[in-house]
Amino acid sequence: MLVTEITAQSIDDALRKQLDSLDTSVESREVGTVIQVGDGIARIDGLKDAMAGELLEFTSSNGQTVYGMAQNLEEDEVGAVLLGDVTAIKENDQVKTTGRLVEIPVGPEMCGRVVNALGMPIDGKGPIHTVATRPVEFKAPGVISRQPVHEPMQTGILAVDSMIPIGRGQRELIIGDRQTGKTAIGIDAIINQKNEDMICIYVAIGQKASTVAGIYETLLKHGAMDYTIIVSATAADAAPLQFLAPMTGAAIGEYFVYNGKDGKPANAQNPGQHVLAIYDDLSKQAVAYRQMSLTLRRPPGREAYPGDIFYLHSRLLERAVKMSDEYGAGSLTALPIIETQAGDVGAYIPTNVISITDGQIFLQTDLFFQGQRPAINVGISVSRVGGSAQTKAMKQVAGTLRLDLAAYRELQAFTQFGSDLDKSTMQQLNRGARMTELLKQGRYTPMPFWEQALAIYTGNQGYLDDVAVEDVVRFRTELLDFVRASHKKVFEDLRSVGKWTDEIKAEANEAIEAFKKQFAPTASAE
Amino acid sequence: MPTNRHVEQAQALVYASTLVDAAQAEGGLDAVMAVRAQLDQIVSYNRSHVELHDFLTDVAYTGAQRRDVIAKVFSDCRPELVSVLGVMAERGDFDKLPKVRGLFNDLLAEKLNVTVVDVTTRVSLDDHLREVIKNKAAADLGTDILLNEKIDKNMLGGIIMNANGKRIDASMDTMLANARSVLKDTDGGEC
Repeated sequence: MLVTEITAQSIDDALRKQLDSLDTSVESREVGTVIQVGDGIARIDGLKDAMAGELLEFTSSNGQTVYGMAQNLEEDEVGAVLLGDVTAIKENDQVKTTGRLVEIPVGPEMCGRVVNALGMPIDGKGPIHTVATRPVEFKAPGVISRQPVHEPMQTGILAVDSMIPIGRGQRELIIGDRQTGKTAIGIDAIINQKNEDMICIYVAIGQKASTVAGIYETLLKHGAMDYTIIVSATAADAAPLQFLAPMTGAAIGEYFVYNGKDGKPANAQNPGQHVLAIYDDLSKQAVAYRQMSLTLRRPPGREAYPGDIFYLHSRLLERAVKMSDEYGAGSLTALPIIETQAGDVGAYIPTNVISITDGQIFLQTDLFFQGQRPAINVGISVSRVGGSAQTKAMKQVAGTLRLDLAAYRELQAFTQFGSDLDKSTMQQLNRGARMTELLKQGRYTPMPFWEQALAIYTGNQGYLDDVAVEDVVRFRTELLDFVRASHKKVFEDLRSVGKWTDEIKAEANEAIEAFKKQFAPTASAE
Repeated sequence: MPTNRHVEQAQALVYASTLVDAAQAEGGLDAVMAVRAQLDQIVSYNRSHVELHDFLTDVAYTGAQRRDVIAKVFSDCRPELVSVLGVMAERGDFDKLPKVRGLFNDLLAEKLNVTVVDVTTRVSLDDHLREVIKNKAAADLGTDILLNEKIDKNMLGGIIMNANGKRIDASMDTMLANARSVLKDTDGGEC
C-alpha cells in the first residue's frame, strides 16, 4: 500500500494490521538433509511423510531460503526439483516440509502483468496484491460439472473462424514448424478478445526473453494487456520453472472460471468467467520435463521422454473446460502450441498432443513462403467440437468451404500440366483460387464474425469471379470499409439476427454490387 | 550382489541390530547414545567426502584394505561401531550406511522402548525444563524419552527439538524470521 500522506493514524493502522497478522504458534515440521544436489535437482534423506508435489523449504548454510517441489518419493530418499537459486544449496543443508502443495497467487489483480512460473511479478511494476492462491496441480473437473462446448471463441482470423471454428472450453492445437506463424495466431486471438469479456493468459515456455518482451509490447500497443496475463519461463529459467509454467497459467485461469467477478465461487446466480489460455509451446515444456526426469533418474522411454509425458500433457489440457450452468458456465479454452521438426507430425510429442486435443490448426512452411498467411493447411486442420459453437451466419456461408477448397486443391494438382479444360472445371479452379486468396489476412487485423461472413458470402456468390486474384484481398478490405461506411445496416442485421435471411442477403447483394461498380482494378491485374 | 530391495533391507537390519546389541552389551544406554551420535557424524562425513566414499565402495580394492581404512579413519569412534563399519566395507555394503542409521533409530524404540529427542538450546537446560520436555514427549510418543542435549551458541534463545525426523522449532531465530516475513508481506509492509 503506497501511503501518499503519512499521518499518526495511518502509521497506527499499518502497525496494528501487521501485528494482528503475527502468529507466534510453534509448528512441527519434518526435517531432512540434502544428500546430493546438482542440475537443479536435490536428493534428500528423511522426509518420510512428504507428499508428491509438496512444497519443500531448503535452508542454505548462509541462511538463504530456497523452495523446491517433491517429485520422487523413494524408499530411502526424496528427489526434489529446486525452484530458486540452485547454487545456494549444498550437501548437508536442511530441508523442511511445508504441508502445502506448490501454489501460486491468483486473482484479477494479475491482469496486465507479467509473472514468472511461481506467479511472482517480473515486469518491474511492483508487487501484486492478490488475496487468493491456487495449487498449480489441480484435478480437472469431472463429467457432471461440465457441459458440451457450444459458445464460439472468435479468433478474428477468417480462415480459422470459418473452417476450423473454436468453441469456449475447447482445446485446439496449433502445430507447425518454426517460423510458420503459430504464435501469431495466438496473439491475434488475444487481440480479438477486446470487449469480449474474456481473460487471456499467454504462457511463454523456453522462449527468448526478448521475444516475450516483444509480445508484451504488441499486446500493450493493441490495448490487449488490460485483460491479459503473461506467464513467462524463459530459456534462461531452470527446467522445473519451464515445466511448471503452463500449469501456473492453467491455475491462474481456473481462478476466473471457478469464481464470479465478485471473487466468490461461481454458481447459477454468480456466473464464472471466460478464459483463453495459450501455452507457447508444449514441446519446450516436454523437453524441460525430460531434463528434469532424467536428472531425477526416472527411466527414459521413447525419445528419452519419461513414461508419464502423455499424462503430463493430458492432465494439463483436461483442465480446459466449459462448466455446466449450475457451476457458473465459465470456460477455459486452451490453445496449446507444438513445434514440429521438418513437418513431422508423427513424432512422439506431436502425436500425443494431437490425440489429446479437440482438433488442430496445422501450419505449413511452404504455404507460408507462397504468401498464404496465415499458412493454415485447411486440408488436415480440423476442429472436432467447434462446429456446434459456430455462429449460424458463418455456418451458412462457410459450411462447405473446407470441402470446396479440398476439391479445388485436388483438381489443381490434376490439371497442373493440362491445357484443355472444360468450362465447369475452369470455373471451379477460378473460384478456388479466389477463395484461397480471400483467406489471406494480415497480422493484428482481426475481423468480427459479421465481416467474415460477408467476405465469404461475396466469394460464394461469385462476385469475386471476375476480380483478378491479386486484387481479391484489396477488394475484400475496401468492400468491408464501404459497407461499414455506407451500408451499415447489413452488419447490424447480421450481428443482431446472427444468420442470413433473404432480407439481409438482398441488402448485402445491393451493397456488393454498388461497391463493385466503383472498384478500380490495379493496372497490372487488368 | 543382491539387487532385491528386500534382501538389502534385511542385510541393513542385521547390521543395525548388531550395532544396537553390541553397544548395549558394551556400555548400556550411554554407549548406544554415543554410537548413535557417532553414526550421524559418519553418515554426514561420508556424504561430504566423496573420495573416502568412493574408496570404501570401490571393489577394485580388497575387502581387507577397505576395512583397514575404516579402522584408521574412524579410530576415535567406539570399537563396536568401527567393527560393524569394517565388516560393511569389507563386504561391499558401505552404501547401506544411511539405511543402517535409519534402522538403528527405529530399533532403539523397538528394542529398548526409547525415543531419542535431540534438544538444541543456547544455554543448558535446567532440571525442571528437562522433566517437562520428557513428560510431554513421552505422552506424545508413548516410549521412554532420552534427551540428547546440544548447546548452540549461535542461537538467540528458545529451543529446537528433533524426534523421529520431526522438528519442533521454538527458537527465537525462527520466530523473528517468521515475524519479519509476515511484517514484510502484510499490506503496509513496504511503507
